[in-house]
Amino acid sequence: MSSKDLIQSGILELYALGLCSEQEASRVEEALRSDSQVRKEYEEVCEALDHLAVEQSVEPPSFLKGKIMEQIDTLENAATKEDNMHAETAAKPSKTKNNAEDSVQKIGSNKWQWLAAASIVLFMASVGLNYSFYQRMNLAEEEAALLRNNNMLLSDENGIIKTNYEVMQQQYAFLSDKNLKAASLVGTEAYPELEALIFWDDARGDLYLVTNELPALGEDEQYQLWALDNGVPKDAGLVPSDFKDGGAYKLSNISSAQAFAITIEKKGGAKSPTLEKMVVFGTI
Amino acid sequence: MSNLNTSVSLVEQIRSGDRQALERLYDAYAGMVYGVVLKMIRNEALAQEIVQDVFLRIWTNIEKYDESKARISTWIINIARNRTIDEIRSKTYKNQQENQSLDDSVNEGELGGSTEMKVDAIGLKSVINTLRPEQKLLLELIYFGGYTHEEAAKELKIPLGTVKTRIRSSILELRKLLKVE
Repeated sequence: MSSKDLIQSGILELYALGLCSEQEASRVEEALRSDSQVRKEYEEVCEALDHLAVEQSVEPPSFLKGKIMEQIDTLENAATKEDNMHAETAAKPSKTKNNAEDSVQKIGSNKWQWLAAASIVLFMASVGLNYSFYQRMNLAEEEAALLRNNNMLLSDENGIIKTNYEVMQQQYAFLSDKNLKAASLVGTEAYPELEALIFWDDARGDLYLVTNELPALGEDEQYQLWALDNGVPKDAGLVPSDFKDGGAYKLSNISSAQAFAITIEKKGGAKSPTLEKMVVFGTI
Repeated sequence: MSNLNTSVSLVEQIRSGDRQALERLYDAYAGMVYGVVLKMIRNEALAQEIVQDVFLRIWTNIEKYDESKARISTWIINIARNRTIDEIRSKTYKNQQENQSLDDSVNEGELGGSTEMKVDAIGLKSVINTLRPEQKLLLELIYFGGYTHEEAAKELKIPLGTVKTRIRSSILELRKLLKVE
């Protein structure tokens, strides 16, 4: 944890208030030892809290001081007595200590063999541990690299999603238009599974097509929208050949229409609709 | 606020067993200790007992004080707060408080009548009163009420994470106010 993270985590404040777990406290203490920035922050926290205490100051009754000093005197006298008692008995334990030393010497001949054996065992254990730590470290590094990679992928994805979202927001901004009329265009007999939506502001003439169920076409073909006004088909614009399912597209201005249809035409569109290739149709 | 050098030498004198040095320390900090303890438990006799205890602890534990870790005032307040929190959590105290709500102990101006008179002018326009109400309440619960952050979260019915960030923001606010002063 960087010193900035540690400071911002609020753990210094909890530590100053005595609310940290032992584990947290030792982490803070370590940081206080090694990091002057953390130390400075902590000092300011303490100063602010001390201020709260100082502000509360209330003069204690005057007898209290004398009482405390009296108690300290009693405490000190008792301590001196105890010290004297310790001094008297101080010589005694040496006897037992000598006995213990004797027995240590008796097993002394075996001691070096023991030590040698123990050190070999310790050495082997340490080699084993080192190897296991080394492997764990490698694993941790691999994991860290993976996480970094994942992080990059996620941030890329996030960028793409954001862009898509912005595009959709722009595409669908027209939905807030109050005069909007909608028509659902349903598949003709030959194309029963197809569908599209039309939104039309007949006052302004703005016409939007939502391509929610239109399959992609061959390279030389294109969808064309027609507005039928009193039975006369008028070109209402070409659906962009790179349209996306679910996308919304603004097509031509149409001021008067009762029905709409989409046909499949040659790329670039036709002057009049090819009725056999009409895929969807609907009335307002 | 006392100068750091005097505090250090005072500490050294106390360490060497100088009782007069402890008296000087008492003169400097007894008011603060008594005020905090009173605010926490609202009982003058008990508060005086605790103040005695705090200064005895200072005398016997001065070896444990590490001037590189904390200011002497911080160390003393921590002893006082911990001692009082122990008291608040003790059975005897809880039994005595049975008829009183714990919340009262942290409300401003709820100190017993006679002590209230003794609160000096600085205490009344305490910097804590300039905090936003929710910050003040939380800090009082924890600092003077002896609540842990978990207990405060439960009491205020807010998530633990919010408690932590609010503690930090209120102390940051105090620091800002103190710098302006």
